[in-house]
Amino acid sequence: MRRTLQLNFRRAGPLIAGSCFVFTTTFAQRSDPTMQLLLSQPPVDTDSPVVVTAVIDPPVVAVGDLAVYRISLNALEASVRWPPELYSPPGLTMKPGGSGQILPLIGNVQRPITARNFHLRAARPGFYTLPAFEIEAYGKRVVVPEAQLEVVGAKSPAQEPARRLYLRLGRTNVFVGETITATVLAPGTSSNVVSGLSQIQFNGGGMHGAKSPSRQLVEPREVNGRRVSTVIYESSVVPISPGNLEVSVQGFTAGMFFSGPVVLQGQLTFQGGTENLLLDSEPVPLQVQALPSINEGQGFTGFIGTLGVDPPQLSTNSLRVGDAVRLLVTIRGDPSVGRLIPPPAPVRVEGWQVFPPSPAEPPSRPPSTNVVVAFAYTLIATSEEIKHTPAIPFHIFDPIRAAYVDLTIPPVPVQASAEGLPTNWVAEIAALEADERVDKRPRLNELTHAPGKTLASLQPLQASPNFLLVQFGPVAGLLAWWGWARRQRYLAAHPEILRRRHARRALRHERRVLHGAVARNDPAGFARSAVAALQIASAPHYPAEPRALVCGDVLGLFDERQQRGQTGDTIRRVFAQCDATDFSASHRNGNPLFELKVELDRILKQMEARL
Amino acid sequence: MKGSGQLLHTVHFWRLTVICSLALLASQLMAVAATTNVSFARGIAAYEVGQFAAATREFRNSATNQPATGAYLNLGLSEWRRGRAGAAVRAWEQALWISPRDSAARNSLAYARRLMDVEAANLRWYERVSVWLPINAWGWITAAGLWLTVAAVLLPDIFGRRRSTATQALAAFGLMVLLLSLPAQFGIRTRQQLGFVLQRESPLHLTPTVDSEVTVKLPAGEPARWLRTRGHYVLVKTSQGEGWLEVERFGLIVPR
Repeated sequence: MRRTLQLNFRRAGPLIAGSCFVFTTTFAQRSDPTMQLLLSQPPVDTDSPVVVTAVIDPPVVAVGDLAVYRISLNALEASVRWPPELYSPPGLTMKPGGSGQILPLIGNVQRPITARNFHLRAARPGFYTLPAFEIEAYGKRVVVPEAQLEVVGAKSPAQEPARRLYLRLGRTNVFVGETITATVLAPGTSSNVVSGLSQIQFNGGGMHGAKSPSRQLVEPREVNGRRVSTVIYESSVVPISPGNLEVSVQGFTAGMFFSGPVVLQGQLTFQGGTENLLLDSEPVPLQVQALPSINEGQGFTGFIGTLGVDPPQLSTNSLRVGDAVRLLVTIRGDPSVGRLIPPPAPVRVEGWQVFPPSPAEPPSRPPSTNVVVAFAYTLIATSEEIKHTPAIPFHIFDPIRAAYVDLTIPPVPVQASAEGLPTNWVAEIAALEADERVDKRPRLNELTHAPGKTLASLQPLQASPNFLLVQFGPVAGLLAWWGWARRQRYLAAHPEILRRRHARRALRHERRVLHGAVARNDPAGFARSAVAALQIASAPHYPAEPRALVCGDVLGLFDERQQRGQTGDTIRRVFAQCDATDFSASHRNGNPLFELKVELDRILKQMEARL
Repeated sequence: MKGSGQLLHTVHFWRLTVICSLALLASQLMAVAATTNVSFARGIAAYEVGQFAAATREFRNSATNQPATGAYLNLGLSEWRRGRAGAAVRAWEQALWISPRDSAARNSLAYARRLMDVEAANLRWYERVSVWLPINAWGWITAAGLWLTVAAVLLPDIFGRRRSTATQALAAFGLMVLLLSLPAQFGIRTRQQLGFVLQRESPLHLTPTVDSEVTVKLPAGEPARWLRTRGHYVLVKTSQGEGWLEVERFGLIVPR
């Protein structure tokens, strides 16, 4: 069946309220019970013009007394945009109080009321004016009217104090998880006119407040120096984080309506009408400490308070191996015992199989103010040698003594027999016990007394530049060694490269000697160096020892034209001069060949280029 | 004689310098170790009497001086007892960073996540590979693969010998080890960008400004990937989308 659903939102913002939208459905949806229920809810009035009221209660106070600045408007809380801070005149301190929303049924529609309180205290007498300001509701700007407060030096006895709530906590120095009794007092007027409370809510971080009262009553009570009929709302709060907390309470007046039963005492009058005022209390400090540590196997299940454990009752003390017996444990204590989680069954006990506890009916006892709860453990004997039931570890935390209290459920004597069992029952039971019955749920680790595995840093080793250097440095060295070895082998296979290299080096040296000889005007030295240079430059081409080469060998490296030209002539003259210098006494001081230096340089450069 | 005497004097001076430097280094290391042990013992003592704030301080001090699984496990416990679940999750993750198979850290994380209804970080395949071994083990494996490959390829050539089948197989094996360890290295690198939301109801902003729109509020212990930092905000990617978190609300496993 095809289903279609169309949602028409009158406002986008008010959707959070949960009931401000109108459904138009097809016929098919009308048969859906959930849809029927939704359709039967009264609509929320979001179309009426938004009216804002701002009053100070009471309008006249003494210096230092509390006055409550109440702003309320008929709009959904989610649609209202407040300014970040409100202006307060000099001499007047303003602290934010409660804020909330109520949806009373007026006629056939729910009319939303959003309220916000501020606590005012003046340091000196005078008239104080809180100016008008703008807020935004349903995307439109509306004006909060101005309000005035008169502060006088002394309070008149007939003057009514501000309507507000008073919060009394059972204890203010507590532990995380401890249930604290919270009593909310809403005193009536001097003429004993009281109003019921609705939507009671505890404010403050790090704590959890009960949503419903444990008791409601109206009785004369002295509050703030006045004995008047007072609405008393008893509930509880549970701190859930350690530290210095602040708890306050707020609620709306509800005329003669109460949520749940209420006990009335004394003469009183209920306020008529349907005025829903937001009342709140001043914050009460709460010091919350963390619980000291305890080992997991000691049966602490989070209960904080005082209670007693009756002697456990076993369904029978004479049992047979394999039979299930019931161990009834009765616990009595204050009302918070109703939230007690029973101690877990021991995972492995010699001779027993113990099953987790289940709630049971407590045995009948004479009436008492204590709350009684009972749990039953099912136990199966797996050995005929057992003499008593296993002890079940159980600890609670006593907040008064600030210590854990051992309430371990004691063993109960039993007699076990294996009568009527098959002959191989021992092996079968052993096999059953060998079957893993270990609790595999994850658990919090216990305190470790050894540092365990360590690292120099949480940064990975491979991210460290030193590590990379250590790894890649030797690799680079190895690569360099490999390259050098390859080069050596190449040179061994090609010795002419080395010969030419040596020849170039020797030639450069000999040319420097040649230039030196010119500078010293040493023609003999010049001739010898020139010949040596020519021999060195020619030797790799044969190859041969340079000193073994003669003029013809050197000329043989040049072509025919050069041999007959100036090149050949220069080489021949140089060799001739050298021979004359070495072997002929008449030519010892012959014509110097210095004028051949330029040509010789050219020849040597040409020969060097061929090396 | 004079020259040899001077040489002996120089050698003696250098030997003395090296010995003194080594002794100084050893004393520094011993001092760090002693400080770490003292902090660890103080943390245990404070924890056992329920002073969890002091225990947290001491365990953090110990872990900063010498990162150790025990210090991080106990730090996580102390933070957990103080109600700071996000910081506890981060400490246990740091214990796993050092020792990925630590059952105590795994159990504690599973316990905390079950209670807080927070998922573990969604690791990519190469990040899961990197969790198989401790982070530094991967560094040595990659280095060994590199060395083996380079040595098996080059040494026969350097010594002028023929490459045998064995050396070629060795080179192939080294290369395989090297290549297989690379995804883990990448995984370690990307896991360094993993962090956790430290405070509950941490607003994830659309832009790195105070007044920007809050897209979602993240629970403590929610995993997130660091993308970049800008001023007082970090851009993170979570399972619920990308956005900017205040710096103090986010903690990386490996602090930068």
